[in-house]
Amino acid sequence: MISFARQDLVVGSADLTARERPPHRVSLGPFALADRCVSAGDFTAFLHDAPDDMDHLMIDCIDPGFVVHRADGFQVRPGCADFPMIQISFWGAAAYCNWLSRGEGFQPVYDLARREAGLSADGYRLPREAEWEAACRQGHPAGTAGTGNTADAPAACRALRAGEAGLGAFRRGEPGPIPTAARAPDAAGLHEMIGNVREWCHDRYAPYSAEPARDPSGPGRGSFRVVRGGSFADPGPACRPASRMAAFEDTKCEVYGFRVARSL
Amino acid sequence: MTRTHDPAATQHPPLFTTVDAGRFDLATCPTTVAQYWHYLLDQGLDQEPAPRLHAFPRQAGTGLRTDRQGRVTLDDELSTLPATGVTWHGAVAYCTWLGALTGTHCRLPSAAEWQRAASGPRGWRWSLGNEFDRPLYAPEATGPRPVTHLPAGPTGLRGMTGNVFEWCSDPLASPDGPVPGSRAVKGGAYTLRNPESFENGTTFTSDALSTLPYIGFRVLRERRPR
Repeated sequence: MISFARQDLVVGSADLTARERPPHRVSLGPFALADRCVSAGDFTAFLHDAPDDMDHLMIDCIDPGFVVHRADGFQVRPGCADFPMIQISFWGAAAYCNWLSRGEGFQPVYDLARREAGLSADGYRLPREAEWEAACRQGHPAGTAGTGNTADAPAACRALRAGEAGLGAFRRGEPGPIPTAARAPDAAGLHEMIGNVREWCHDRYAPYSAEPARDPSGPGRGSFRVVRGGSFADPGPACRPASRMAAFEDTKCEVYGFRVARSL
Repeated sequence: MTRTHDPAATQHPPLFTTVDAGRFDLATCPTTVAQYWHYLLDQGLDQEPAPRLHAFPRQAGTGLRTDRQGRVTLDDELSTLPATGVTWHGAVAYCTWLGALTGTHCRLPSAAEWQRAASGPRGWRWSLGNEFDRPLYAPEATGPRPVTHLPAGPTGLRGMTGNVFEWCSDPLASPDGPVPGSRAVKGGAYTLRNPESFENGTTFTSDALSTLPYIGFRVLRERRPR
């Protein structure tokens, strides 16, 4: 986990799409963000430890996912443990956060049965989108956006993709994820913030307001969540620190993964 | 869950209908829990685990479950659900067994055969038409629905679109040749939402040893004597 101090910043951008407008001031309390996405191996440890915490509506085990479900339960495909966990819904990611919290003696943030969250709990959660953006901006100071595992990734990056390595069910020559932390970290110490997999954030999606905000966490209702960072399927120019997208929270797709965060 | 009596869902052997301009017969419904149970009893497969063929959950809800001793038990009131938890190898084995028992050539359809049957004579995008009827194909659900609740299309096929995926014979193709271990599934499932996933022309693949509550299968019968 990488720690980020209390800070004020401008979130959003006037130069991208309508979703990122208007830029507005945000104050954030201190938080920690995982330096990499949760891997298929990490997630399988959770599935083995707490199989009753997961149902088949929260995880999709058909191809090209790295986790399959056989007679002996959930299994990570051979050689795929370091690839990001994909094909889990927002609530599947939330269930993992709660498991991590319980294991380390923190209060769980999510009530999965009621589909609610208590952000006063001290446990693991998905990052607020403003936290994600603050961390990504710190890692990619102006002019150093660099290249990630995006649709137009350079050859050296593409060579790390699951299909090129002959791993799992991604096919050779097709866009696909690379292992978590496969490439050097950004200036903040974070791996693959840009590209690879779109990352579930805590916030429900809503258009931005111009009003300054303190620790914003999105609207209280709705079933679309913010996803950040773009993916191997998205062109690089669409994957900026300020870029935001919305995803239906029950979506389980090979371009969605997540990393965990915690308030400090 | 409502129990509906429909001979097509519990009948052994399954009912078939002729499709694809008379080229082959396809079971009107996905293989049901009742039909798979008949096979398990006939083969003594209810007595011990067979992980290459199938695995059933400990909890009730999908019709067949595994008890503490590892034996398979039937929840009779759920016998009209599609049989799930069956691997691709298990689906192939059931077809082979049914063919031998009935003196016919039975097998899984290829993805292309499945698609032609689902599209019907009018080449529909989904099995009952060119509009995606969400309440019919993809209602809110936490598990499989009885196949008897699903209306029949013009050739008598039920449940081709939605409810549970159906295994097909094709391996996952790749520019380097077939990828070992994965096989095609068609038709979409209750776990999905976007209409494209349910289209007759859409093919997914899954690990051939998958035992999942959202993958079932239906039998193709060739129109030639055994």
